[in-house]
Amino acid sequence: MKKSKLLKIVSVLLVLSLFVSVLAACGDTTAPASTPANDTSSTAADSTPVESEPTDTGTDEEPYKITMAIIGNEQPNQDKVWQAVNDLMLEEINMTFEPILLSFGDYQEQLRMMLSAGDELDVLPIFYDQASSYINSGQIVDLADYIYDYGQDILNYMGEDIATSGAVNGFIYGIPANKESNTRSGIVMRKDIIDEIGVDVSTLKSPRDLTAVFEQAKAAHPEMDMISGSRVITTEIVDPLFDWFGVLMDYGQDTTVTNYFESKEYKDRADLTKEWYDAGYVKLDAATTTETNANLVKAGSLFSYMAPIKPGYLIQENINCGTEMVTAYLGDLDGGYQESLWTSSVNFFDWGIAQQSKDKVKAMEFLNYAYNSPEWNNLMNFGIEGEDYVPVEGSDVLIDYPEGKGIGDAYHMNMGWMYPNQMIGKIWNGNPEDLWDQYTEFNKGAVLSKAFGFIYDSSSVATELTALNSVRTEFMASIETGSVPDVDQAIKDFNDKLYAAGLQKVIDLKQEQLDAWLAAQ
Amino acid sequence: MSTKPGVIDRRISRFGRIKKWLPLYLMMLPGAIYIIVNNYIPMFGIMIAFKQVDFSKGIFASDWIGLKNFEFLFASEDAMIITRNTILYNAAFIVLNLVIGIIFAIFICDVINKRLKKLYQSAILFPFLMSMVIVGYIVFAFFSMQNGIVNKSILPALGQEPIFWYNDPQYWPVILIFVNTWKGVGYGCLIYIAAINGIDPTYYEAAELDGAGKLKQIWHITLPCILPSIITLTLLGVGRIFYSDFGLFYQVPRDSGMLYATTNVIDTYVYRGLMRQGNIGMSSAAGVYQSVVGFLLVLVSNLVVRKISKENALF
Amino acid sequence: MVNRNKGYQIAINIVMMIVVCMVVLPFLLLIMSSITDENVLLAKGYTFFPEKFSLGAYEYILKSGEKIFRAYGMTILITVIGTLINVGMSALFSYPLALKNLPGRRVITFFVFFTMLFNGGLVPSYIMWSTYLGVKDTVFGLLLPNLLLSSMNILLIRTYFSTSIPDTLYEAAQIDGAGQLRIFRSIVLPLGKPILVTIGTFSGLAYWNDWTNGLYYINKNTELYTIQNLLNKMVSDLQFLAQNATNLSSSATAELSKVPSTGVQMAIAFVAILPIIIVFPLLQKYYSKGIALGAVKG
Repeated sequence: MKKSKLLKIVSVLLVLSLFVSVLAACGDTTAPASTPANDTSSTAADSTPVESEPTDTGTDEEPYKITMAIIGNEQPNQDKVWQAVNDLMLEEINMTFEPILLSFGDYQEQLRMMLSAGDELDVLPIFYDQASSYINSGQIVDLADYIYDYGQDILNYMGEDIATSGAVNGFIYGIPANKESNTRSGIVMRKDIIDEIGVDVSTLKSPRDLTAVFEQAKAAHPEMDMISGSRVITTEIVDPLFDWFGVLMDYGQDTTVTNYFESKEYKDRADLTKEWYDAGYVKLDAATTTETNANLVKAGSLFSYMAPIKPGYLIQENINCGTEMVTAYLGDLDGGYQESLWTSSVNFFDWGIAQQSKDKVKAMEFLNYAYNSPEWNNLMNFGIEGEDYVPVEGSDVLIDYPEGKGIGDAYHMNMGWMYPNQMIGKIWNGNPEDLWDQYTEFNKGAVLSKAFGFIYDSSSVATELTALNSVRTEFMASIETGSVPDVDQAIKDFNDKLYAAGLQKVIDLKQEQLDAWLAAQ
Repeated sequence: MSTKPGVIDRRISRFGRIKKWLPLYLMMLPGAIYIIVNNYIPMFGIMIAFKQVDFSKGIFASDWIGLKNFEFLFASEDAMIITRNTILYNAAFIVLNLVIGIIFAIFICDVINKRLKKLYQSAILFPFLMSMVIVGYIVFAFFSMQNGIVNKSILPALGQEPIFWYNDPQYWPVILIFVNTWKGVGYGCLIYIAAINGIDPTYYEAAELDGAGKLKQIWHITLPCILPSIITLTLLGVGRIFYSDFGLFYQVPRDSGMLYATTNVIDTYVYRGLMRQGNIGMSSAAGVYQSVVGFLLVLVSNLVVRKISKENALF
Repeated sequence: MVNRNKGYQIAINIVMMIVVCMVVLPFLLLIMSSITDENVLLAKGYTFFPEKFSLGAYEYILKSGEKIFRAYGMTILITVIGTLINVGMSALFSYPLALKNLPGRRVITFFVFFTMLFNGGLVPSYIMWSTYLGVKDTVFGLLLPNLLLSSMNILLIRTYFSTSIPDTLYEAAQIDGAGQLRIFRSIVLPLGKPILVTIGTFSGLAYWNDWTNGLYYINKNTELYTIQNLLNKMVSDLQFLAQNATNLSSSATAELSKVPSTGVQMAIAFVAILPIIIVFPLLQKYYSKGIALGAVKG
């Protein structure tokens, strides 16, 4: 009796779903009629391996449409600028341009959907922490098959080391955006208060030196918070090997993978933060606030915060904070510091090619072009000359808003760090004319981590990583804002939980892969 | 009474029967097609939970990997706490929304003043309009450790020390349950109001003639009459017992790590674990796990309801 | 059924008044925060009695003018159309289900209920709607996926119909020779008004509050964004920043710092709720009973 009922249910479901799959199939065949130009059967369900045989390029063939996902906010004059980009590309490389603008908060979710469903997409931005997942689920293409044949200009310009550094087990997932990679942490403070209490900023070398500054500033302005942020101290002294679960100590010079959260360095940092928290220097709600530090400074409730600092940083920050700020680079707690560069800082942001790209060779040729065309980068970043920007008189590279226009009136994406190559483009007024040289110097000044160019393949520890990520969010912010009641206990709990979640397995895996990688170098 | 077949039924021929029911099935057709397209066809995605998806091969051609995607759900030593939190919170929500919802519904239906009645009816649904993000801000406005209304105005007025709300998990069961009731009670309440309004007033008139008091009327007329709605809503709640309102448990406690002991539920755990990895197989495994547990519970509960009163069972 | 006992009336009114206060106070706080001076809000926190008022947040909204109003229009359009279709389809589907001798009733109910527990997940659903049905970047992307019919609503209406409309009524109507559609139109709809209005409210709110369809199905054609999409975009941008503040290069944070602050979010939240607050009381009269049952019976 019961069985027959179940049978009935199942059979009805089956019939219904059959019926509808027929319907759906009908829908499928009629759909292309409505969207004639750009339909394909490039769905995840029936994706055919088109990649193997790239079509040969003839001289007067149809221009190929490059669909490129970019991140940023909507801009005035956007359509016109993108039309100009389109025209430029049509003329120079016989391709047309279809940008898809995604916002910061949503790009991850939206890209995941587009990649999974096989939406039209050729070129996409890849943040370092997404790479592994894209590779493991076959959503992006190994550029090793293309870059040597179709990306020669990139190799020549960036050098093969850097250009191919975004690789896991030899799978090149993307080409790093050409930007300043070496961001050194420092403290950003209100200049008027620094002047008032008479501190010589140049004497500040280590986060420890800040205690005295905070003491004086707090005495002068008791109503103010001295420092805030979800991580109060941001100076990095280890190569995090991408996710902090097993790191290389000593700025990546020590090739033994160890647990940073167990180190004396981490405890010292936590202790110092706690000392500040107990003294009332740290914003009580630092771990939970969603307000930006700059906004808090602007509102007059915050004195300072730590941030990654690079050439030209203050110009931006003065505007954001609405008051003049001063900065000082900070080293580690002992006052030492070594400029260093690791894979994740160079490959923080890469450009890759989506698995569903209809013509990967074209996509690679496009990247090759984008990394080497000043016009393309200028257009994308600052818009059309004469409309969105004008050259500053007496300078070849500096540009500024045209007469009578300002923020919000003109196309001003100002996301140079994201575009393939800002360092061949114009420089916004207020920055030094030799900004790009400073960046280059800045990058060159750094010592490479011993694991530079190494990215571990995390696919076999995906389960452990989910548990680890969860543990990390549980403890990191509370320890690093000093809000925990007992630092020693919290660090102990943190580590116990990390090991319970499989930290050792991840460390061992990293070590094994790193040793193999080092041996192959 | 429901088992009694329609008198007309037996009298008409087979053809007549089809003719009789056909228009009714046709009425259901648009809805059925939508459900199949929107819900059933995408269910092929459930297989993703058992696969190592490789989009270059396509979902169907990807390798089967058994239950590997499910492992992470139990990988954390907090799995027990998380499951406990999820179940206890949901149980509290089901009970409170039921009891308070019915009480308010009865009250509102009894209010004579038409204006006030309207006011109450609107008011109770208003919180429904606010997104959890905004609710999170408002809760923060009250409990912010530095600037919150509670720490800054209320506690000092009572001569109490400020409390570090976002550092101490013990307060959060109360806060979360309150917020959920505040925000969600209107939903059930409105259903119950509709159900009570649908009750034949002659029942009450008869009861009044018999001299039955208010409580007796509620017990013997109102509750039995709205029982089907109660059962429907409760069973639906039971079915989703492993799910939780992500916004409530993530936005409202502001993802404060120190509160995880009482705020971590399955949905937030999955979100935090997969936020950076974006593993589609694992996230779909989590969904399947939640659904299967809820499904089994509903089947059992429905069976129990059927045993007690057949016509009130959901299916 | 209405109890005219005076003490009882006073008691329930007091209780409900307290409830109203508990509902209204947070709203008041929301409104106050939206008109508090930005800097005061950040420095002093939220309060019912701000030191300094400012309409800056609303000026900001007005400045982005066209965008907000278009989003408003979009939200209203989607909500009205979606709700009408939803209620219509749900009612059509639920009425047969409420008939106790409909062949296959249990199976069909299960067929509906099953979708409340199991779903294929976002990606398959996205593939279905976007790739096969081509709703992406069209109004249909906002209208069709997920919201057009809710299994929950079907079950609730079914329950209501089957308890509040007596079987004998249908039978009587059938003996009269009334066609099913006529029965539906002239008996079921009027009698079911309370639940249909309630369901309509839920459906309307679901459309009004929805931002996920916009997030997934509106990519290039941002003119179709609804008011919730605008709000959600701001909030998610802010959260991204909070989570990545220390990782991101400073130019990214510079761009993000243009994201409006808490006050503006509060203002937008208020602006998004306002129309409902206005429309809602107008709907109230439909909540009360449609027509007296006795009338039909007699």
